[in-house]
Amino acid sequence: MKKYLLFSLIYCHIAVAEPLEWTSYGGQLAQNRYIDDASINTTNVKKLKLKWMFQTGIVGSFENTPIVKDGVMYVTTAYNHIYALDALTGKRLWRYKHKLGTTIYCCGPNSKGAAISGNLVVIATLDAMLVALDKTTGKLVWEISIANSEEGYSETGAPIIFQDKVFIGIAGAEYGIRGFISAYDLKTGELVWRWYTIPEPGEVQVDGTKGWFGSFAEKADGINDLHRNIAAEKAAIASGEFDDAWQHGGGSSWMPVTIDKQTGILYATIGNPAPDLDGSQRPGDNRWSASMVALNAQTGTMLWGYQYIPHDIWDLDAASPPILTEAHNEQGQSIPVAVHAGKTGWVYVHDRQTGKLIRRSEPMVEHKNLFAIPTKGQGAEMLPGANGGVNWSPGAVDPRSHTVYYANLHQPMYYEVRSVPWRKGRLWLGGAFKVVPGKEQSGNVSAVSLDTGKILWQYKTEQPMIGGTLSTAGDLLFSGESNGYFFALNSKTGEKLWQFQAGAGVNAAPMGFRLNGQLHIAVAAGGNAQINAPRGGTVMVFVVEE
Amino acid sequence: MPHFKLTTLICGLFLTHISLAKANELIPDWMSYDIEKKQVSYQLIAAKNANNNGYNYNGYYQGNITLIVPSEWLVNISLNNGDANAVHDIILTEPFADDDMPDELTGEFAALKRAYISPLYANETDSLKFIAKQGAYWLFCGVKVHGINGMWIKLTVQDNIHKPSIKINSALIN
Repeated sequence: MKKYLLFSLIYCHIAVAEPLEWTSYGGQLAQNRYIDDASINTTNVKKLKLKWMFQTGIVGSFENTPIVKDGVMYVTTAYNHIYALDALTGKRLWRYKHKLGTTIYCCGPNSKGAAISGNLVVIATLDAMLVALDKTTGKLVWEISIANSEEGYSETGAPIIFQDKVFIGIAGAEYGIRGFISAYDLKTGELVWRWYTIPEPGEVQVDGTKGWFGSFAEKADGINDLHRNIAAEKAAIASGEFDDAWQHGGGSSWMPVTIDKQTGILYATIGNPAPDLDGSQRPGDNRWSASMVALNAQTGTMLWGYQYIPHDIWDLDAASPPILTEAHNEQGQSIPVAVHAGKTGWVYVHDRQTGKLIRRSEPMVEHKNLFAIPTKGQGAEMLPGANGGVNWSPGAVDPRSHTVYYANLHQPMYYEVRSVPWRKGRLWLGGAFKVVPGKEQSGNVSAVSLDTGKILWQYKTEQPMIGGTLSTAGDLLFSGESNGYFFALNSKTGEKLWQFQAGAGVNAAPMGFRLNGQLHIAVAAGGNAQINAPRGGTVMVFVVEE
Repeated sequence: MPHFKLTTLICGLFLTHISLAKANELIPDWMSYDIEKKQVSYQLIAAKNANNNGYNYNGYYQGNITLIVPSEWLVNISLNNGDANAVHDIILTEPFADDDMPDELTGEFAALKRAYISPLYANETDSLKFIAKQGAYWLFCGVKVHGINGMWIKLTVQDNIHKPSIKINSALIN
């Protein structure tokens, strides 16, 4: 008996002491942002205290989620600095500053994070480069140019590493780029494959259609009328005037991709077509903008695609990265799913193998005049606004209850359209998003059941939310606000249990790691250009000292 | 009778000239001035409409309007950000050559001391004031790539004029 007890104690100690690392933007390749550790929980979270903070000294948009591997935390900042820190103490180990060339980018000089594998740490930069550093010294190992930044290509996302490859999308649809997702050899930086989000004319798609015109879907998800004039679009195509529109068709993939390690399938969300508001210059569905796609990670071959908004004219990107988890299908069976929450305000649950939409949630934000056509003059008032719903903020899942949590924005806007030609390297929205005077903005954190699509609870915030969430086995949900509050909610009820005033906008997704048997919760607090949250440049790490 | 007709004609032409002269004096409703106090005020809205993808002040951009101000007058500018999707600011700068246009600028580089407004979020309003000194200037958005994308208008301060006016370069209006 004594031997049994001793063995149990030793086993428990080892199990508890085992490090819990966060090695990729979303925690692991499935991006579920779930910490399977209940040592910080609803009972003791009120004792959560700041253990250390690191001042990067870099002020811009701070949207990084740190990664932790082998006791070292890697943090990327605005303008592409990267720091390696001792994860237990915050002591700086090294710093690398990328020398930026021409930078043309949307929405702030941010970087979502780094990727790590073997002895390499990899980052992507605002001037559309991929950079690999020695993880111990921070010295440059290789760097390559992904695309011509002078044409409006940029990188704000985090690379993802799987096996021997680095995967990265591209940003710049606001400048009329043609989007793509690339795979590079991890050792050399050599391009292995590139899949374009906007197909060439005649390129046969997975559903048998050709090019980017699609099937001329008139409804979103077969439910909501998109108010398209299909006859006019087909006539425009037949005229030949827009034969080359695909070359500047947009379709950024500007958030980190998600990978199923078991199947080797890559899942990605694709942003708006270009120009954002003026659909007259790009007739057809504009595949695969505003979509989720699944690719073979080894070859880049497309397996399936689901377009949320065919012929999007509202800038309603699919931005928030896919989450891989399990949920009930229509028959109530638990199956592998891919989850996305859109600027539309809906959570989408897909069969991971086929892409079939199993269900769409209740809207997490108000809908008004949904899919109203943008007009000249004052413009059309519509909700959600062009930032969402859910913008790029990654969600977090609780796999025990099949619940997902997202940060939302409520921003009333007028959508005004104006036809202008594309010019290289110049902003190309085809209109403007204008304030509705007197209408307030706000935000929320929503908990949604993946099995039913029902909203379980909502935590309302005074300001729009951009950043992300973190879910834990201690029944906690962490997130942050533009007003500087980093907070913990009861993930079952939405009750706020703890908060900390970080002094700058908490507009990044939090993370957690366990070292020396102790769970640490970390978040970047440095504000955001998109919603003009107060700037700073601090990484904060919290623990509970019993 | 011919004398009367000639007089009438001359008066008519004279009155027409005045009317035309007044018609040529463009005073938009977002501008007001007081000659006695030597003050001029402008109420500007960033992203007033979709001109230039929303990168405009009151619909004007890329220097297609010039605000003309008498030297030593007090200039008041209020700026409201009408853009729901981007921050904007305004800085009084010296004119830039195409090759020298900065892709980002902050207020400390204003051509006259403190003649700038820091970036404003949607529907926020702020103001600036300065004493106009003779020369050519721009009102330029210093937010990253906004100025390069045409978010600037002209402001010219002249000696020997007694009231402000505006000039529109209609060739640049789309």
